[in-house]
Amino acid sequence: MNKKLTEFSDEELIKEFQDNNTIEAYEILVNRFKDPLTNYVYRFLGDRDICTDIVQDTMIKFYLHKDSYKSFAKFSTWIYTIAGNLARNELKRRKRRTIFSLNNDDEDKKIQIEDTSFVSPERETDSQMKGEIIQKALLKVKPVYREVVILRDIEGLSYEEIAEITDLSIGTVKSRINRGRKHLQELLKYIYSG
Amino acid sequence: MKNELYNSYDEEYKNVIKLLSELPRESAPPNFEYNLSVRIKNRNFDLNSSEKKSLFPWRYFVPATGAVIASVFVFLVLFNDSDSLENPFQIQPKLRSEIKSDLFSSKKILGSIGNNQQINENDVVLKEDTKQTDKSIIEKEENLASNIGPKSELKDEVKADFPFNDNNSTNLDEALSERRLNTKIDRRASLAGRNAPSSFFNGFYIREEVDKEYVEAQKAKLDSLKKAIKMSRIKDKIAQ
Repeated sequence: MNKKLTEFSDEELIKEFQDNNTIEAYEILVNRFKDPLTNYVYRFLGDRDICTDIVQDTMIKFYLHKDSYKSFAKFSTWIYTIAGNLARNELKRRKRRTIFSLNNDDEDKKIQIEDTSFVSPERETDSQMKGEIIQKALLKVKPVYREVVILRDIEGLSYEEIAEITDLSIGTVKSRINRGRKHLQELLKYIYSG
Repeated sequence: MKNELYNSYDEEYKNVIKLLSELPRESAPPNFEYNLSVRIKNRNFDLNSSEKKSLFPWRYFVPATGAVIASVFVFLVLFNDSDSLENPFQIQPKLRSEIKSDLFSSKKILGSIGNNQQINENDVVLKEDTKQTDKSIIEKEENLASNIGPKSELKDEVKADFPFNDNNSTNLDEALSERRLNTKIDRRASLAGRNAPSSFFNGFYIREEVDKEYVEAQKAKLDSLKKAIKMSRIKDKIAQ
């Protein structure tokens, strides 16, 4: 009858961690969410080093403030909220730094895309270029729209979950998603038309 | 209805949605969990990202600094009215008549302290109906002098300015002629540091003739006071 921890749902695992301070439950949750959070933060900020730090900080916050999670909410929305807040703070800090910086060379910022699997060089280059263009286009979209578009179209979350993460109404989420998509469509029209 | 609208939007942006969903997934570095466990074991809970706090709490000093700068700015803008400051070397000296009126007003204040009455410049005080005796008047004056204290000097000053006082009768013509004679004395002066002969010196201020109307008013006042005192004495004698 005893279920393995790996078979537990997210909510069961956090409860286990809260009640019994089971580090294994914490590790399973970290393992489940490290990649989706990394992808989300990376697409939002466009910087791999910073995104790894932010996801680490998210997990540290989760470890320290595990009791602030309430069982009526989904664990995924709670952890996405923490990561989103940290990512937004980072973006604000970067903006301030950009304003005060004398050397603001956007050209120096390179988008890094991981080489995950072997594909033919032609296809690889084509895929990499496409990915870079899309990422650059995403970074040109306003952060308020970018965030919800990433959560919806890249992370595949529901409108309700996004509304909970961003603390917005569902109507606002939908309108923001469509505005973000519209902007992206204008920026990427040469890719999907050609 | 609203859902249908958003579904139609999904259809409109299907190319964008497809592009985004096909993006390669980013994953955490292989040493992610190891680094995290090390941090937790070492209890290194300082945040690496934006929430890292500086040791000095700059943000607490920002409002105070802003307030200080704003107040200094306001002070400089509002109170730096250089036109309102008078150059003491360019102040016109007061005219004799103004000084006299000032003295008269100060006398009025002194009088009002004693009698709780205001004396106008042109008023002639006739106290025919008064039941006060000389003694009471003298006592009042003494009390007034004791109450005023240092201000009595001012009273003396006021008295010294005029060639007569309340107790003695004065020949004003004589006093005025004496004054004229006195002003002619010591009018010769020589400039310091020069061997030039002494020259006629008429003082630093413009000299003015005594205001006849003012003298007349004072004269009338004195006469009325004397008359009042005389009348009160007569009344006292009759009463006795």
